[in-house]
Amino acid sequence: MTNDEIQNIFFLECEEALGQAEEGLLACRSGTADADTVNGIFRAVHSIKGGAGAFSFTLLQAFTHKFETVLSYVRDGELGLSEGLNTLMLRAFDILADHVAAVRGEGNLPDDAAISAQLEEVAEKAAAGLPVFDAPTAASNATEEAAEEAPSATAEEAAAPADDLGLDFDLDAMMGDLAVDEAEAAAMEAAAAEVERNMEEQEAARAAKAEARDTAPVAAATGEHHGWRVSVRFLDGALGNGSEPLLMLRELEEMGAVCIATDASNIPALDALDVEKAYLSWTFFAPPHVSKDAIEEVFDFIGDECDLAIDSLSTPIAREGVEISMPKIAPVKAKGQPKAEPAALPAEVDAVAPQAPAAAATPAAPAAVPAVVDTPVAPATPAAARTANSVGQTVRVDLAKLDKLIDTVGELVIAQAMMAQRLASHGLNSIDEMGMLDLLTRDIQESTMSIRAQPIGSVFSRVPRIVRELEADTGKRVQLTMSGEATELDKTVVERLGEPLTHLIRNAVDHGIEKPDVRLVNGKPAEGKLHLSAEQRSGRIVISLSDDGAGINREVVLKKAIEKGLVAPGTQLSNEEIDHLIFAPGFSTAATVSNISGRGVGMDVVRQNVKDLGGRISIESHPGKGCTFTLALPLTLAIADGMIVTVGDQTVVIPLTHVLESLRPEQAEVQHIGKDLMVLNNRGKFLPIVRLDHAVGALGAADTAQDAVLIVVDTESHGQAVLMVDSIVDQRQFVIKSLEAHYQPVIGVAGATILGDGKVALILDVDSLVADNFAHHGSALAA
Amino acid sequence: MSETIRVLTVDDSASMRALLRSALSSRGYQVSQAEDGVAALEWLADNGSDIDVIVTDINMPRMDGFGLIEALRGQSRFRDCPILVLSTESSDEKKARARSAGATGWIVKPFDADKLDTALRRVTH
Repeated sequence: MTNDEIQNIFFLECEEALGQAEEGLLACRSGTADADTVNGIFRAVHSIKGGAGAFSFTLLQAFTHKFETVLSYVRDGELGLSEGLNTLMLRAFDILADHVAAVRGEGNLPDDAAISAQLEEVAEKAAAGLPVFDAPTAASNATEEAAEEAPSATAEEAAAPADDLGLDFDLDAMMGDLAVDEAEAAAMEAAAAEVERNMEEQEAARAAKAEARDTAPVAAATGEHHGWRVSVRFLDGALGNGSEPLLMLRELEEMGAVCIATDASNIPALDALDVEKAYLSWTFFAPPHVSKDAIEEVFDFIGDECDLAIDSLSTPIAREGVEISMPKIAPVKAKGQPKAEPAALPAEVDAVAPQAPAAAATPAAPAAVPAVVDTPVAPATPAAARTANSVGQTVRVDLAKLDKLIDTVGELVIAQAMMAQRLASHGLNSIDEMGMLDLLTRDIQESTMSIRAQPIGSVFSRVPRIVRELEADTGKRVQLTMSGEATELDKTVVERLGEPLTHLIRNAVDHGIEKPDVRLVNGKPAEGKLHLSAEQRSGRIVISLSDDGAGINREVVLKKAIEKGLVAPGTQLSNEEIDHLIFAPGFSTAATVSNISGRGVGMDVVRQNVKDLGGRISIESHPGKGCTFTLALPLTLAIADGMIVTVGDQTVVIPLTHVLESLRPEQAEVQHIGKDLMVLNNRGKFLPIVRLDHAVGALGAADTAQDAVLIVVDTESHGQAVLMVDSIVDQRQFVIKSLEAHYQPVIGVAGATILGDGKVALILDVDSLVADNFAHHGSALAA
Repeated sequence: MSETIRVLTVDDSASMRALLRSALSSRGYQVSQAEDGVAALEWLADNGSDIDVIVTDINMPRMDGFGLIEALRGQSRFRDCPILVLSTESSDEKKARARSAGATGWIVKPFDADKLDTALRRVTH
């Protein structure tokens, strides 16, 4: 696996971790967080930090570290969740998300200075046991004054001025916080004191260590440095925890150190000898080129379990100086002496020394390896187990592989249809096996499609942040609610939905919801409501965004449209038609172009985006009461329902989403206008007829509407129109194959598919076909 | 030290597992991996005799590193198995806690592959 691939795994992890963190933080804000939630947030941020370190994303690492520090205080109960803290954490989360995007090369580095400083301040206060967020310092600039006026105010006192400033405080929740605070105050105070004590101790230890380190080189520098005398005495615990002192001594030797003395004087009488304890002390000579740090590092793991002294030698050590202190014990005569028999120590220390601890270290072999392994500790809570399960049951699959599978399943569906057709031609159309195959093929197709399906939640989850930012930018207040996050639709649709949805939300907050003072005057609550929902409805996904704002100001819209030449002056338009004018290209109603929704792209782009996804968008506006945008999107882009029709010598597919009805007209229902144009009087509504044979260049098609079948279709740009074809062959699902990989885009053609008999048929792009037809014949009939 | 050292790494982060596998395999270790304490215990219950050293993260869901080490030290066949902690935490307090739980040693993340190699050889025969 290359480093890049591993890094990509990290990026995927970041995505998951960010999702988990945000979910948790929102739960914190809504007051539904428990210990597991906070732990989850901590772990998510912690894992991003770990990876950031491993891949040298130092800025990301630095920021996650600060964030993590604050979270650790929350996790340990030293910081209570408060409005101010939640706000700070959410903002820190936003910056974190930006940092992650930046290392992925998907955005610029965020300016994290302000949030970093706040995180540090909170961490410092929490460490020192000072009150944090008694005054909501992080809430907004407006509250800073309040905070300054009452620097040591309690939360209750601070809430009052904040409320006057029009900020949102859930008093009940705060009172709840207070109650908790009181209950925990004593415990927290004790904990804080403990932390302080620990910190002092650590500080002292660090200072002592630094001092020791500082003095050694000084000695070495003043006198001549001829190497190190390393004295090490292993303590009782040195053989515990799977440690093996022998390996450390061996490592020392590998560095070039030589054992010059072994002190075996502490070895007790055999009866008292505990094979799991260490009794020997050693003195090594390490050559001058070895650094003190390197020597210390060897004993790093058992620092507490050995006495280590490293002294710089000012004179060269004489090899003759090797000494052994023999234990002052009577020679052991007992049989079955342990291998560590100290008396057996030969004088040649160099060769033998390491063996002694090895023997001493060898613990008594377990009498028998137990057949039954201890039961693993059960997960703490069912919730934890559930989360873990849901993580464990996921498999990451390369999207290309998945698409290949879906493609193949598509071919399978076609092959099955071809076979059915062939069998039918041999009179075998109702055999059981075929029915079973048909059923299985459908099952496979549905399951495969569901693999590509993703919950829309991944798009919805970004919405709270967008709304938070908009609130900050506009000074408006929005209460966002969402439903149907679990609704699934195709991954590509989910991915491409983000942009239009973002724009709609910006639009709703910027243009729809009024400022708090205006709302109050109009008898509405200061806080605007925004509801985002998704649901599956008759084979489509319907996403709607409702606000309770001002709605569309039709007078202004119409005036603007006339100004821009989009509508001829004096044209009579229905309310609905006026509302839909905002989708016209180049339309923008904001008197001053704000930096929020007036970014050069308008609602026409939103509509185009939605249309590109095979969807439609509509508006329902009630002036003064609010506005609802509804997006209807297909479940998948790969397979669609279509009507297979013939026209002359050609067979084409009309996507069923456009088809409203099909009919054989009476003579009186069709009227001719001029030489080429025909209109259908469809229950009093005149619809232009498009001759499909002309459009696709088919030969030998029916020449009069009476001999043909008329299909009423709905288009985005030109309302309803009628396609004239010879006959309807079938209605079925088809797999869309893009032609654009091999051919240039062709107006009126959306792609191709393979029919049951193996023939290729073109799929009509009804919108562009009808639009193109109007372009040639004039759009007088469009309205 | 010609014999291959068999190491079990326990970490909930897939990228960390990939990094460890890549660093250790290329240095001749035989690497097995688990994604948390519970998974490690389950794996060890079946394959415990095939392991020379365990490297574990601390912060993990379900069962963290401390819990894993304590659980292993409670089993006689893992009582003397070297267990290294690999964590971003570097406070003396955490190290002491790991040591009292039964950890053999401590390596700070982000790890240097050569240092990890040295540390693993320091605790394995």
